Amino acid sequence: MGIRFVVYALLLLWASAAVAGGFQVSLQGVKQTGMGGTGVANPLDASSIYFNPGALSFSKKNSLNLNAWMLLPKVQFREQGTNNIYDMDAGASFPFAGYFSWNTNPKQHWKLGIGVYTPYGSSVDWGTTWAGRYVLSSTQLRTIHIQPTFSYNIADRVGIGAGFVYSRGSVDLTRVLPLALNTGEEGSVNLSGQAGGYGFNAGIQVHINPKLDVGASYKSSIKYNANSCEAKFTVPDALVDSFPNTSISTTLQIPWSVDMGVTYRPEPKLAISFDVNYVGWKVYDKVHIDFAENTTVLSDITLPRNFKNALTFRLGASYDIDSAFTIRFGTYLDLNPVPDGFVPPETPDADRFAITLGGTLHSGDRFELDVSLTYLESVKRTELQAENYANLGGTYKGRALTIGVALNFNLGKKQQPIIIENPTAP
Amino acid sequence: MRYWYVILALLVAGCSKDILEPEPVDRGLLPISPYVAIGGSETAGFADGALHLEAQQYSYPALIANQLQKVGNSSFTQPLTIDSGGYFFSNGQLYSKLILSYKADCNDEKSLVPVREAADAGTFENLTTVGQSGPYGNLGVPFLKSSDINSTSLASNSSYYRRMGTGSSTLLQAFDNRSPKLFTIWLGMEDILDNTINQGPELAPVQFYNNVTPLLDSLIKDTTAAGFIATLPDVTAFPFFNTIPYNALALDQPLADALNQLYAGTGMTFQSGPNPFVIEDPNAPGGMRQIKPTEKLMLTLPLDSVKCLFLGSLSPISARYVLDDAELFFIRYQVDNFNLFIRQLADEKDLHIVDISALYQGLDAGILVNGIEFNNTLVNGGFFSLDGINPSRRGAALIANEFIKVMNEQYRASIPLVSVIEAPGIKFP
Repeated sequence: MGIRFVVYALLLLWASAAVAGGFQVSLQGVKQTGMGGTGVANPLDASSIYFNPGALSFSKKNSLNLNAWMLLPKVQFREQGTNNIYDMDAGASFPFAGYFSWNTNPKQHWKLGIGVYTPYGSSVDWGTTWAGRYVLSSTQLRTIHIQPTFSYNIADRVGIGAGFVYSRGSVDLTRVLPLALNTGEEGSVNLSGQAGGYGFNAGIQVHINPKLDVGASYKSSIKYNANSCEAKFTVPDALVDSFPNTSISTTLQIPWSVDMGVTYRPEPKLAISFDVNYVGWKVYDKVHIDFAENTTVLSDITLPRNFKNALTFRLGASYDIDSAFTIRFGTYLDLNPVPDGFVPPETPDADRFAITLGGTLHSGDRFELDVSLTYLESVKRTELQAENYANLGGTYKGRALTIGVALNFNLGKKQQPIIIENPTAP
Repeated sequence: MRYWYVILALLVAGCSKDILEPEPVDRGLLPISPYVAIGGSETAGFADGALHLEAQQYSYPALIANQLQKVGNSSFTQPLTIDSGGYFFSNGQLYSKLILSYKADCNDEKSLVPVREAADAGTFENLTTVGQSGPYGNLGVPFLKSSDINSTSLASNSSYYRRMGTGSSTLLQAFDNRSPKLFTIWLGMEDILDNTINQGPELAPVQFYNNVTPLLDSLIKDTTAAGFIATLPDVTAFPFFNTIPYNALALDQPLADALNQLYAGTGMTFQSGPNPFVIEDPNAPGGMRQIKPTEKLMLTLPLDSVKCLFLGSLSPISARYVLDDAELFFIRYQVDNFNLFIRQLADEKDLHIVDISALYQGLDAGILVNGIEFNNTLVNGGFFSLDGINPSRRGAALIANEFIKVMNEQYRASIPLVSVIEAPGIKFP
């Protein structure tokens, strides 16, 4: 078993649908997870590479930060009319994020970092017999971002930073076809492929005074042009000519996001953060799948999505009980981007509300262990049959539990906290 | 700290249990038992050109009865066939159901078409009476015309009725014996179809009214009974009349030239490519003419004769395979008038109209259900069985849902609908 295998295994495990709006997965740092997902104006560790590259230059140490979550979702669908209830496969998934930040000399004002994280994805399996199987049976959408980052600090007041993002995205989607074999078993089509895309993540952090920080970051949209995907049909023998296995091309775009935050410290031990994320889901207006080979019964597919931009509000707090233990808690409200009539089974989306808990165990200056627990409840979402683009009417309801664990290694020499340090002129 | 485990265990447990409850179901004020269904082929579960087991199991009355079971205790039985091939009895011949299969034509070209499944010995067992398992809730009789309802010769004329072994001399008597509290009626289809397809006698709409009235009078003797009656669809839109295009006569130039020469002076012209077929018409000069784009050819047209024996070109297609404009006009007029009388009957006898006609009309534009479209096309359209006349399993489910919707509306009931796509689709080899 080589490294390759491990990497693939990780790619297979992380994604899931139930955590944030659309197919966003808002798990990028366990400390932040414990604080309702806030973190734009609160440099906690190297995960600032994601949350706000500008804040990275404020973080006090060179560090390696490794995060993993176990996500246990539960989604059900009650079909309008028939009253039948269907379960989405609720297997666990394991998103992850890793960051490394570094500079040679703590006196310098810049910091380098690299992050690997999984910001968008969804893992949905409704099975092959459920009411919406002709729309979607299962899908695995994954993206993995690699982000080298540079962050610069001006007079310990303002941190700016930016990272280039290279992303790999892959999609695997299975849909049952209404073509029954003599055994009664139905045919299906599987679409799969992967592609790369580019983007950036830039941010600014302003340290107004020891009690107040504000920050903002912009994460660009990333477009994946998947030109060499495959469509594989499983159909009755009689129809093999009508449904040839063929290559397909499609484009997928993940949205941009504007994140703004403020952190207030009424006393040194207590931090309260409030973040707003504005996510540009409008880019996800349709999915067009172009089959290289069309037949009389096989034409290109255009699926309407018509997502709208959406807001998320996050509130979190941390309190240092003593030098060894910090507790965290928070909450967020995630407003969904999917308009009525267009709720697709791959993102059975609704407004979500979550409460979070977390804690950090500090072992000297070198090591930290973070844990987090998120309980998320999505509002019942009823999609009327007559309004739905596919006539798939019913009520979706979701719930999820997420457990996060992170290890944080502070490297190199002990550094002075920058906040109380008097900067030397260059 | 150890309470963490408890919280965690509770949360994990919370995530695994159901988070949606089914909506409450209720029969409201609807009496549900005994339920008796009355009608012709569609009601009996005659589809794919035969009365067969799967179509019976998914007949619209059986599907309605399944849903009634969810709101109370309602027993409903059907005179099921024994062999899965089912049977169709025609001119002394016994046939199995149609299946999609490859068939070589006269040019030895294979294509996927509905063909009769090879009948095995079991086919004959289907004729045996199954009266011992009665009395039945589904009293649908394939090819039942309204004049058969009160006819004592039904048992001798219809093997389908005979095998039900109702022990009653007439179907009317059999209905009466069941004293249904809930009944659904879909009559008139076979009167129209017999006239349309088999050149059977025309039935005056008022005669239909007169034929059905005694049945309804008998059924509504019990004033607490609930009755539902279906309107009739425009049968000319069925795939049986719309699958073979009027201009499927493919000619090359020499053949077109030859036909032009042969038919010179008749007004018929032919060219290379698709041409309208030549059909019989006693009113046309020479007793034949070309079919008009609005006119229709029946699915029973012998295509081998068309391909290899120049039927429809050198020799005209017999009028019995053709619906000409006048016939089409008359059929639609009949359907409209039958529906007027059905509505009048519903008024007089206090029955609830189930607008099956409107459901079928929806097929023209296509009916989207759970991501797939149902329409009037044979096979791909999903709604019709392979005979192009009777509904498929999924078609029957859509019909059952129309009945259930009216039951829910009229009796403040909340009976769940049938899952259309849980019914089997058309099977391919």
